[in-house]
Amino acid sequence: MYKDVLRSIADIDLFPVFAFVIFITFFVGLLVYVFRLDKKDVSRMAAMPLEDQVPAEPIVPFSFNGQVKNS
Amino acid sequence: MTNNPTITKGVGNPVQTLERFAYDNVLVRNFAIASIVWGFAGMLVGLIVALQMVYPSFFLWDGISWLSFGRLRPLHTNAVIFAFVGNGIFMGVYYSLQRLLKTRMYSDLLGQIHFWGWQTIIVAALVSLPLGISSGKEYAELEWPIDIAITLIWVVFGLNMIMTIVKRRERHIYVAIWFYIATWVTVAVLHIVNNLEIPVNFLKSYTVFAGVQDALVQWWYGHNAVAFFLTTPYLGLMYYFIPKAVNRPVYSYRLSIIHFWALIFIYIWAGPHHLLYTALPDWAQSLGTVFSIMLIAPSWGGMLNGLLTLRGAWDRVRNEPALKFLVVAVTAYGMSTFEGPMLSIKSVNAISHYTDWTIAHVHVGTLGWNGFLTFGIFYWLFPRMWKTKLYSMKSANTHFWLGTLGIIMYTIPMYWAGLTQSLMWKEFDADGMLVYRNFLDTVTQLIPMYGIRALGGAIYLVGVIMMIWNLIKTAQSGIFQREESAEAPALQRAYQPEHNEHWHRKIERRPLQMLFWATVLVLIGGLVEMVPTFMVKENIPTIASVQPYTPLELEGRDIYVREGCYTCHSQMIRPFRSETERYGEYSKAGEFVYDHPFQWGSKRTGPDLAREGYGKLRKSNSWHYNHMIDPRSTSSGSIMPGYPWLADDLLNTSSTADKISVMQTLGVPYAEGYSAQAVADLQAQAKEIAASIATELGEPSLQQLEDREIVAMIAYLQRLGTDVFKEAK
Repeated sequence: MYKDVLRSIADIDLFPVFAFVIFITFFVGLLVYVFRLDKKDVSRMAAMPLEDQVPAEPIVPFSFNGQVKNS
Repeated sequence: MTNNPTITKGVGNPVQTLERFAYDNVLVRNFAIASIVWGFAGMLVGLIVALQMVYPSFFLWDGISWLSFGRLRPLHTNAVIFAFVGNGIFMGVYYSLQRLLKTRMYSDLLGQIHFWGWQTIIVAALVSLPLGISSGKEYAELEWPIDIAITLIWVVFGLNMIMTIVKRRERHIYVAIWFYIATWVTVAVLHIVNNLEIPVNFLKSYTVFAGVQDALVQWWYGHNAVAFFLTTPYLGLMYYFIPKAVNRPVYSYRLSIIHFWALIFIYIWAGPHHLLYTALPDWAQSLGTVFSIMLIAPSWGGMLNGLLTLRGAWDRVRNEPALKFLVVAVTAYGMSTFEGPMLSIKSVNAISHYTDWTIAHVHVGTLGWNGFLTFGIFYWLFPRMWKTKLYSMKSANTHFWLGTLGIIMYTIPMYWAGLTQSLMWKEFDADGMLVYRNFLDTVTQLIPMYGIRALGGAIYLVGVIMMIWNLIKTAQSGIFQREESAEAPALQRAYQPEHNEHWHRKIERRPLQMLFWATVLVLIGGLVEMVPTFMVKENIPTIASVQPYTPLELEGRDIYVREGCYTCHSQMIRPFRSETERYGEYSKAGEFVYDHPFQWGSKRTGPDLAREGYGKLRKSNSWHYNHMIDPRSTSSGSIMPGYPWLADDLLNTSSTADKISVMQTLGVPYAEGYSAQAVADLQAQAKEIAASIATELGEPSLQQLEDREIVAMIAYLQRLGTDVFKEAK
């Protein structure tokens, strides 16, 4: 039944070709990047909306890997 | 360092210098108030047009040109999109941008110019649209001087935003801001391209695109106005205000990165799904469908990310009205972004398109997603900006339920009406004849549904009024915090990136690069779709017998645009038997090559007019005259407004010659020097039409119609769809 429905969609043979080429090239790269992100960085970035108050002492300059940097 | 007062804090080493500064709340408040005021006005106009479809000859609007449906509907759409949601976007951006970047906005003055400029544009729209000053492209009706003003103010907004990002005190640019950047750049591109027009005079212009090309540009714009004005900025707000309201970090930051790139990458291609089964080339239609279906993935990824941010905090939804609104908003986003891709499958679109189904779909998005998200932010923001508690939780909760009920009572009758009408259009009897040959039968059937829809809209509006009262009371019970002081360490100039830093991280740090790459992604989609339609000749086969409009027909066409006829009538017969039986030969791309702008329409509240002047659809001039003065005199039960002023107002021919010249500039093949002769030809044709009306109705006095607007309108309607059947000259 569902095959008949799909068949009735015009030009359906082209759909997978379009979708395949575009998805593969773009999203694989993006996924690789995203999952290689450091977990600590990600959780800090995720919490950014919550930290618009003055940070608690001692003031530690942020760096992306979460380590304390000397200024 | 800077001129800011600084304090030095630190326990031993490291020592960090904190800069003191203040967030500006004044601009946020102003945009919030503007959003509320225009939102109420825009929704009220929506309610009026909804009532006009039930009571077309009610005395408050019957026969009043500036209150007629075709002029108020563009006012409704423009007001809710650009005034209600637009000001809502700016409110949220100015609030969140400062706090996410730990800096005040770059310039208070630019902010003020942005605010007052945007409100001036809205007032200009409020005046010009009811006066019929319209360029005739949906959601882009404003004429060229206003278009230029929008461009300038948009640049002011962008400059302020980008410079704020540049002078930030926070290294990482939070994902919400990516959405703001993408919004800014894409809306700029869309607005400029779709509004490329050549002015005839201060209040009239013609778009440079014609027919199929204009349709493609318009729906590339129209679809992405939904994507990049109603969606991406609000997703940015979602990523800021939902974590704020539940006091939880966003569920998955990784997902939000994928969400962002996937959404802006895919969205820009989906526009042609508004033109399925039209004269647009098939490959472009298929492309639109494919990308629309792909859109489910990022849309739902984003929706789930928003909802899952509430994990472990669902109990708070019970007590916090702001959260209720935010949750339902995100749910509505999920529903309409599932429905959208389904509607862009050709076989579903064949049923849904031109019916009220589209209206239902749109309002799940606008009332649910945009409306509720905005209300949720108001309820969260007002107590904080006035440092007080929400005046009435009970009222806010009642608003929530009224709003929800309003949406349900709005959309269900519209789905019902859409399906009903579509099935009636397509129903054949055993002999292969259309069962509902009279289009009007399929309209009168829907009037009870239109009534319930108006009631749903009214309920929603009552909720909004309660909110306004509640917010005013809240503000009165507190003290407005013009500024909020904050401290943050300055960004270290000599930033040492990590040794093995990923390239994407560099982009995230550099707003201008982000801007650039977002633009590139957005342009690829637009160009791939549009360039072939412009460059490859076979995409729009020319038809030798299709000729330019006569001057009178051209003036009539401009009146058709002015009155917003396209808001209820399509000019595009799809290649279905149910349509060719009803309207005649299906529409060809080559028929529209002189149409600046195209008038294919998107909704059939009335019948298609593409072949109004040909074959069995052709009526006498006197029929059109009677029908325009009082539609119910010729078509009992019609819900079309009457246009009596067309018979009273003199046809203005002062710009006719200029119009011909502009058309020539755009490539319409009028003979060299024809503009000098145009008015004489116009008068001759008008005389003929007036004479035929006078003869047919047996009233010699009607010959005086020859200098009235109505003869131009009739001339245009009688020309529609006739050219392809003529001998080529």
